[in-house]
Amino acid sequence: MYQFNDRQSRDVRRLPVKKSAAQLIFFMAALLLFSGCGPGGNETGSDVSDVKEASIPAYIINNRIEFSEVEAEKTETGFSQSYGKISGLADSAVEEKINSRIHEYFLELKDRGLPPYRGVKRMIPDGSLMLGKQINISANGNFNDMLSISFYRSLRYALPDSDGNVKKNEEGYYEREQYVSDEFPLNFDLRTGEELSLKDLFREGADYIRLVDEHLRAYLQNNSADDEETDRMPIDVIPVGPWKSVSPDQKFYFSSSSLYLVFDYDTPQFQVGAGNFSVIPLSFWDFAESIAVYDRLSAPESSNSLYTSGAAVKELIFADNSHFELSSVSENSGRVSIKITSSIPPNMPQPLKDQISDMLRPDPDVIGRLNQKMEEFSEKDYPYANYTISVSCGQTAKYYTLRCRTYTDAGRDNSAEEEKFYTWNADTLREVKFPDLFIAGFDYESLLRDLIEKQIANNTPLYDHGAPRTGESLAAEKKRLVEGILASGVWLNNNSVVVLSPLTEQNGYTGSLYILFNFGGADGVDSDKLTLFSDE
Amino acid sequence: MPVKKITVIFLILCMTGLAACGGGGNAVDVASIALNIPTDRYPAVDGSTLTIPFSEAVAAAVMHTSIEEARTYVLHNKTHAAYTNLVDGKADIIFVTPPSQEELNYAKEAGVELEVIPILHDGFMFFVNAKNPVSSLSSDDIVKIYSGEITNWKDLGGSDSEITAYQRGVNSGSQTGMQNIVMKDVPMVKAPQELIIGLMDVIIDAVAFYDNAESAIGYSYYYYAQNMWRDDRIKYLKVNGVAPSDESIADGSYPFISDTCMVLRKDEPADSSARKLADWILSDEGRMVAKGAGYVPIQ
Repeated sequence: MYQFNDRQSRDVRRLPVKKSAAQLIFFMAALLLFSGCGPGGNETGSDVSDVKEASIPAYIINNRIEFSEVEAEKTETGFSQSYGKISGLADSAVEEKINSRIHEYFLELKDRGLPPYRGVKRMIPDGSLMLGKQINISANGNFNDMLSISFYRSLRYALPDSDGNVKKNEEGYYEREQYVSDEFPLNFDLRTGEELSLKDLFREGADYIRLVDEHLRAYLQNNSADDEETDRMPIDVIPVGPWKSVSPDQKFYFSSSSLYLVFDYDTPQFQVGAGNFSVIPLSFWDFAESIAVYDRLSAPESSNSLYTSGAAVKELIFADNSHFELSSVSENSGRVSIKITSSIPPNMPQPLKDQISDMLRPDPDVIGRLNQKMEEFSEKDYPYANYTISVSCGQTAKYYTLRCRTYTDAGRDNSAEEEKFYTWNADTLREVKFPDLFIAGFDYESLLRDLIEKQIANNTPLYDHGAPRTGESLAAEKKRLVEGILASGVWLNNNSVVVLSPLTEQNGYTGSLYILFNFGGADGVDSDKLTLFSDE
Repeated sequence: MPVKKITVIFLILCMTGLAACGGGGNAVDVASIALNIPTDRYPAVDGSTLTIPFSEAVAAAVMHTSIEEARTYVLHNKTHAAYTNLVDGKADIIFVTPPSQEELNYAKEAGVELEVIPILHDGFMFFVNAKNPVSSLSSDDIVKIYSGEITNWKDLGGSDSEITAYQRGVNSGSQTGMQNIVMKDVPMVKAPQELIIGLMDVIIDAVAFYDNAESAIGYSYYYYAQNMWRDDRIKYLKVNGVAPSDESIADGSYPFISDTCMVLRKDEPADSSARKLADWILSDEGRMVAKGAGYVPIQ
């Protein structure tokens, strides 16, 4: 019943999932979404649909700098302001150049008044009283010798009444308040200290404006509407006039997987939220053949000379999930309310979709058991048992990695949850098990034993009928745990391998054990011991 | 502000495209505009998203200021909220589609009488893939297509291929327009789910380049297709021999036309800024500004 079809394309994901009171209609809509029906799977008319995986490398290298927030002012409540500074660059002149620019920009923002949003003088008329001005800074991307940061500014005003007076009520609060906010990114090349422009994120000769325009247009078409009554998942960026192109100085910031375009009063072709900016993410995976941010993975030796200390720290690259295929289906079977949700990357191979379809199929035995259990409860007290299956599949480097969670409850104190992990190599479609993650000769069993020992020592003694295990009983239980993990699936995070840990199994719930990259010994494993980071 | 500078500002507005100079880029010398409303007296305007460029062009013209400055006084909260704001006294003049029964009831319950004045025309247009040999349909043909009576292009002078007739979602403005302006009392055929498209821009894409695009037909409001998502891979159909254009919509020769209105409270005083603004919008100057912003003003 839950079938995916390999003819799915961006056209399918662009069909909005509509809310409906009629579950059957909703179910059918979701089924159509899965089966690749709809307005067709054509690829000829646009080149924004291809996810060019081949050019996306497996990983990025985190910069070995420290980025810290510096509190500049906190004179009274509502007026906290801070900027940022970096340390750890070998070239002190470059470091000073970057820090000076950040501070200079902060001082400029500190003195700026009301942001000139559309309608802002209706929202905050003359005579309003400023109650607060907060400025914070955050790092969005800090890898491959690039730093992407942004200032966030929030202003709060008390509004005048019809007589033009700003008043407090009897409780001492202003009766009418209004917030506005804006965001100001800064992007740096850590090798030179120069600011990066949008153009710099793309390879030499790439028609970057056209590429960004195409993907922005596709995003807006997918998420905005021409009229105001359409039942949809809205974003608050709506074209209000014929826009032709983004500007070369379009505000942006970036992470290791996406470009983020900031829309505000500088882009009046778009209506954004009242008094607030909006951000649209565009996945680097869509620009794979033109994006330059990954080309900056310089040889470790030359990169090392940029920094004063530290070893190269690698992270896997996530595929941005902004255009994953989403589905949510609800139906009832007797007194069991079944909800099935899934999120899968676009263009997933059909054999994997078939496996996911199997995971999403409700188990008749479970439904029967829940209905039987519900006979113990009146419809008034507990009308329905819940049976939820949710699959979330991501793409990390060259792997599809998936969590499948099943949750049931039938009345009070009868809930249970099960989670399973799966990872497949996107090239071979073979499932990756724990041993497959390590280079030949690496003693991963010892690593696992060490991690389990540490978890036991820290917080989870192994018990047998309420008594701590010792001696042979303890050894046997540890062996069972290791063997269980080795035979189980894994889930890939950008900075860790995650396995299900039978150690924390209790009350029907299973915990996870995170094995971090880059931290050898008991906390994790060095990335050079993992096949995940090989270029093959 | 010196006259020349103001003129330049308005010319720039038209050249940037934000004001959607679809009507030929009429430059308006705002210094010569008779009405002058200071920024602190400008009425509380509200309206739909699609009328924002119109509202901003009007505000800049009568406040004799730059579009950037005028914009900060223009707050549109979408159609339904604009109506409730007008009735509740939070807005003085709104630019919207005609009121729904629900909005009329809301005003009546509040004891507010609305004055609804049509100011802009929009066309309801049909389009096919540019490769489709059919270029013109009668209004009757369109009704027959969407009632399921005609299902093959060969019956309309085209190739022997089944018509893929896209529709919009039930609650969308376009679907309401299709039913009210085109189909009227004839019920639309119930379309399979895959032919119902929630977003207007997607319906344009569907007809432009999907697999079955060459046999597809879709519909949209003219302003939207022309100004927002213009696509050379679709072709606008003539209806009863008349192509949708600024001219045919303005002179009423195009058969499917909808109106955008300005709405005030009927008791709005004659000397109020809102009333003065309304009167000016209906003047030749007001119509010229609307045209300069890409709209089709009612003559």
